[in-house]
Amino acid sequence: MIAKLRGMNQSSSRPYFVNAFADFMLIGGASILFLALCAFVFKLNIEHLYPIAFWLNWVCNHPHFSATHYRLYAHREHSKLFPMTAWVIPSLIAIAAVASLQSADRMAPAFVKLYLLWSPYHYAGQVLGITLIYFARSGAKLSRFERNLWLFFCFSIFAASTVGAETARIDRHFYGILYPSLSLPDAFHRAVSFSMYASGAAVFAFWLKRRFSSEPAHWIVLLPAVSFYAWFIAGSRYSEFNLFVPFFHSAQYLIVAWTVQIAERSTKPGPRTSFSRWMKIESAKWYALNIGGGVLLFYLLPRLGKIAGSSLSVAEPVIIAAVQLHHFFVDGVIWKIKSTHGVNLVRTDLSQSKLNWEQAT
Amino acid sequence: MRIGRFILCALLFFTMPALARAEVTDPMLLLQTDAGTMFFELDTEFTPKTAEHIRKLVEAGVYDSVPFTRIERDFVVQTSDASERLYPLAANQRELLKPIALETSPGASRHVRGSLSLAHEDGKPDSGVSSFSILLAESRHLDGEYTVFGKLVRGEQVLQALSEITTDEKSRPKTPVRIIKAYIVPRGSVENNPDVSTPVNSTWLKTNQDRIAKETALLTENRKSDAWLLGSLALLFLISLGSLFHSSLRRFALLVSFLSGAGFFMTGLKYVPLMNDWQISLSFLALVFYFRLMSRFENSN
Repeated sequence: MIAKLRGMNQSSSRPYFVNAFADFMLIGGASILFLALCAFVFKLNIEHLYPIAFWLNWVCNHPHFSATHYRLYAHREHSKLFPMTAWVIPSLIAIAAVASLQSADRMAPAFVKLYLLWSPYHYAGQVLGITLIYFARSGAKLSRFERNLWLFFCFSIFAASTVGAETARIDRHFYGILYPSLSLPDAFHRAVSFSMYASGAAVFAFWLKRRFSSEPAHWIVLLPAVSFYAWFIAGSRYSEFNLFVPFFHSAQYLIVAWTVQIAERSTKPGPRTSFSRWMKIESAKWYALNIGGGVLLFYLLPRLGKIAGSSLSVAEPVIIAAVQLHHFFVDGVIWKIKSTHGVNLVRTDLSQSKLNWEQAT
Repeated sequence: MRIGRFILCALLFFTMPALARAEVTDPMLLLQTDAGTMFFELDTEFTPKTAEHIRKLVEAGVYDSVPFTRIERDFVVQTSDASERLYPLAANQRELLKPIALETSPGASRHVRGSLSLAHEDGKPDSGVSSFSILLAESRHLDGEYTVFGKLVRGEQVLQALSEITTDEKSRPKTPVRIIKAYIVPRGSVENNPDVSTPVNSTWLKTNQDRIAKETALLTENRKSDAWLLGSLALLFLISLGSLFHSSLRRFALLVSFLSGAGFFMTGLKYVPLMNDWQISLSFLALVFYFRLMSRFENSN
């Protein structure tokens, strides 16, 4: 079985987590199609979209935060491996959150601002991570220069988008908490935008070069970054599209998290049944837990803020920011954990999990 | 697959009522000014292009902090161009500032008290961009010359208060008065919102003066806040050098210092508009660097 598991690290001509269609849609294709709909087909009424976005939050966005926490805390060995991330960081964030609840006019705006700046950066990190996974899964070996180029491109999309938004000197609010703008200069925005387009052209040129020289250059490696560009640059002018960006991000996240969950569970002996049935039961259990986790993190926890003597209107944004800040820390490490056999789980796919399950059962 | 279908059906079930709701067809313009709040009806029937243009500008935040620069009693209260607002325009806001053609038709509204009239350059009727006037009296000579794209429906007292502000010889108000924020809201929110009354009274002028005094006081704190911000910045850079080492204790110290450094930095943000371009660009890069290090935290394990 170990030999088979180790096989998962080797290059494959089939880089998908699930299959071409599911990967295309969930990694970003659906968001690109939706943007095309908003831009070229018809104008959607944002008032009608709010309830959809609201429900998608509960069924997709909140569970994706929960999935991270589940992975860290549901396995004792994981929290032992990262004691700072598991115990020290949440304690410090909790202290900052309580201070923000006590000082709604000074600390809370700073806390919320930190979260709002970090959030798109975290998106960029995820996009880069998935891109590199696809490269590895398609058997491509990136040079250090090419890897850095991708890194630069992904983070310059974040920079161009954030700097663009931060040039406006208008205070905005997050769930009613007014936070200040950085008021960055326009020239800085032009510079980072130029960097974004230049590095974008460069990564595409390298990809084409691979294509023409018959090196592995699967189309899907481009998808995460193109979707990220659609979310934050091309789609930024469509408010009806912006409403769904967190959903697209979390869908991208959940497909990876789900594949890892199935891969990890597949190596353990299970009941004698079909793989398909076993997978459905495992998926339902995992998803139900994450839905519950989402309710705990985003509904019950803010209401606990009242214990600190705060009103819900302050507790809600502060706790939401705190939960997500912790998620950013956890996410930086938690998906790099290898299985007990030394296999990097994010490189597995569903067919491999099926083989593992059959071996184990 | 059954689970997937069930989730899909559940989603559709919950969202169908929302999809079936009637479309909002009556956008209203809400102007929150230093003198109080006013509601305007946008004329989407006879001046659809101008109404849509104004709607886009409002939704992009273009009118936020735009001053009223012309007040002529018994004639008009006029806003400045968006370029004269307190805060510089962002790139996406500037993109929207394009001239729009004059829209008139026999059925269009006339220039009467409370009308919203799009300003344009003399002799160039198709040059209106963002500046507009609120009419204080009937001015029929302007009909057909300027686009009337809306009318006041609530906030008469505020308009009266604006018209009574003392001005200099160039009709510029002696006390600065601005649009604090403009919104597009559905009509229902005008009738149903008891909070959006007209808070105008004799004290608004005093409140405005207090605000100006506070802004002036903030400017005098400039030097102190610069030192505060640059200090935290230097702290972030210095501590980042420590990330090269990875003992548990050092990592803990690093983490605490980083979080407190970021905390100090973020709480100093209210002074950021007073920093120069170099300082603020450097601060942003330091923050990105900070995110990078924090994302890699514990990765060495």
